[in-house]
Amino acid sequence: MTNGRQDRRYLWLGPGAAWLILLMLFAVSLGSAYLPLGAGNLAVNLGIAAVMLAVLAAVLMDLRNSVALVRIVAAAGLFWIIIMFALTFSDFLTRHY
Amino acid sequence: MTDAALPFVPPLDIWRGSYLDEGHTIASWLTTTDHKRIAILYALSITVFFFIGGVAIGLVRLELISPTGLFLTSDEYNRLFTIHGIIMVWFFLVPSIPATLGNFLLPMMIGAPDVAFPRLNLLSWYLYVGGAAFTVYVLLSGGVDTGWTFYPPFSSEYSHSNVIPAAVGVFIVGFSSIATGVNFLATIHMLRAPGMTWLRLPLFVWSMYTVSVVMVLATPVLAMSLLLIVAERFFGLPIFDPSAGGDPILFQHLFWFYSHPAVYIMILPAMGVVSEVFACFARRRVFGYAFMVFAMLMIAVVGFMVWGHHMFVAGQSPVADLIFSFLSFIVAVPSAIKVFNWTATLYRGHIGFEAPMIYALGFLGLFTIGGLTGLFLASVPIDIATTDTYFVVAHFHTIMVGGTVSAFMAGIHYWWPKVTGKLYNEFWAQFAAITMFLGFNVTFLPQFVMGWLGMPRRYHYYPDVFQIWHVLSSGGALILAAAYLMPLVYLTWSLFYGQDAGANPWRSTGLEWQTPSPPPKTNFVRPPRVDADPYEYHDFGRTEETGGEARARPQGEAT
Repeated sequence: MTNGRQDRRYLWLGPGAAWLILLMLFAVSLGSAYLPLGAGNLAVNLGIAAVMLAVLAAVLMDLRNSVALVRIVAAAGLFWIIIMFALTFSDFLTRHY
Repeated sequence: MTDAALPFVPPLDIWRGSYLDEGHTIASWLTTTDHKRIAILYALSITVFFFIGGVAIGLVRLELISPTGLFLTSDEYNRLFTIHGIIMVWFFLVPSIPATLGNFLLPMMIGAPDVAFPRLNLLSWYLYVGGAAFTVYVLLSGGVDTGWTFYPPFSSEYSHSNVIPAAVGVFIVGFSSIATGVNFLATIHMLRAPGMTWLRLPLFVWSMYTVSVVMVLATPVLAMSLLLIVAERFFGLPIFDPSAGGDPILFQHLFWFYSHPAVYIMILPAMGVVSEVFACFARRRVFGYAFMVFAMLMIAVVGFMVWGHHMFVAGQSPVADLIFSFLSFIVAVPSAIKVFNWTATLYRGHIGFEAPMIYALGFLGLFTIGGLTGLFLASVPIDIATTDTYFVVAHFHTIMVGGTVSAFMAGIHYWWPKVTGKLYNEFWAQFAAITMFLGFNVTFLPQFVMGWLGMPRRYHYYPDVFQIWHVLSSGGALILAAAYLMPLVYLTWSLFYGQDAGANPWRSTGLEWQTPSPPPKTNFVRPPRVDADPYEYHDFGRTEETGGEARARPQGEAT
């Protein structure tokens, strides 16, 4: 019985808290868009996105409790996203039109 | 490198019959979690879609006999080639080998009783059916006219066809791919039999491993890009609309980040199939096994870095053009390694020209032509001249149809005795294989010529000078259709009247052949133990074997 309660807490509490944090970060991201920070807007938004990513990876993907193989798989996913962004930016950042 | 992790201990009284005897009702099939039955469900489903897609392109080829069209409006023509593309890519080619042959054989080849997640396996088929239902709806409600690539702004703003249902169908079927990929990765990591070390895995299993990596990593990006199209078209979010700060080329980057690796999703399994067939029917150890493995891994990784060669004329920067061009040339290296190694495997082999081998030899020639013409298209100036011409159409059909479909047919014929326990008529199978090779070349060689001369793709009114090439190509399509229909007849016939195949009619060394045909529900009567490398055919010629002097060494014992 105790185990069942612990399981339920484990299943719902962590993801629930993560969801609330993500909503809060979303609100911060939206609010920051109305602040006249110039180029700082981009930096703030990217920073918030990085925090969101960390919350997703640690809590919703449960990487904090995962074995090494699962973490390697997640890292591979991140590596592939880096490939996608790097090569896409090889186009966007070198366009002169 | 580790040996298998999970022990397989089926009860000894489990052998009561084959997996086909485990229930004869429709419900028993629709609720099965047996990987072999799910493979059959997939095979039936993709066959239906293959013929729907085939009819669509048959009508297109009929229309193209005349330079001014025969019976289709321009709009109908656009919708027909679009539905052909969507069905053939996502509902036939992508799932073809992994979901059918892969599902059936992968656990048996590594000595496992099933895949790691049997219920997820069944769910993947239901996801396929769910996506297919949307596509059938699109078909019945007038079709979609964007081309299979869904490029904005046409798809997001201007098209008056069923873009959203079509995108949702592809979105759903993508999850089917992901589920299959995750399942295969877990199965190969966790369920290998004792002694089945990584470098003892058959190359077909390695091909399933690499293709699973590609499916899991690439398909989510397709899902995301299609959702963005839906968001723009349905909710008006201006993601790709340049007038509101969006960028239509961004869609092409995202789309091709999936869709170029999708070509490798189609061809890597084909490489796995023909590796098995060449070794068996040449009675030879695969030349350079380790290089074959690393070549597949390299294709899977580098294949992710070449997508920009689809965008040389799309407005991509010249710097990016050069980067993608260079990387596209690089990916040809592992492909070439594989072609050379297959050729070396055949060298001085005791080659038998049974139907699977004829299909596999067809694959070898056509994949080489498709690969070499791919190098033309990796070159920026040549690609600029040939973009959106029939040269491109002929190139990718040579890889996808000449390559993947040839290998798929090779695999079906090679493993048919294992799946059904029956032998098919060898003469008709050989005849169909040769007919398919001829039909393919008559269909697509004219397309190379007219594409090089400047005939654009997706036009159904064209200058008279191209008519001879179109008529030839349409004639070839007719031969090809006959070649596809023949196996339906003689394979079905074999189910009822074919001779019993026995456990190992090809005298193959693979673990899947060391169990009865058709296999029992848990694949093996006893837990298999692997004590040899794959493809121990070396030095054993066909002549000696038939004379009873020497036998190929099985990879393990399992019966």
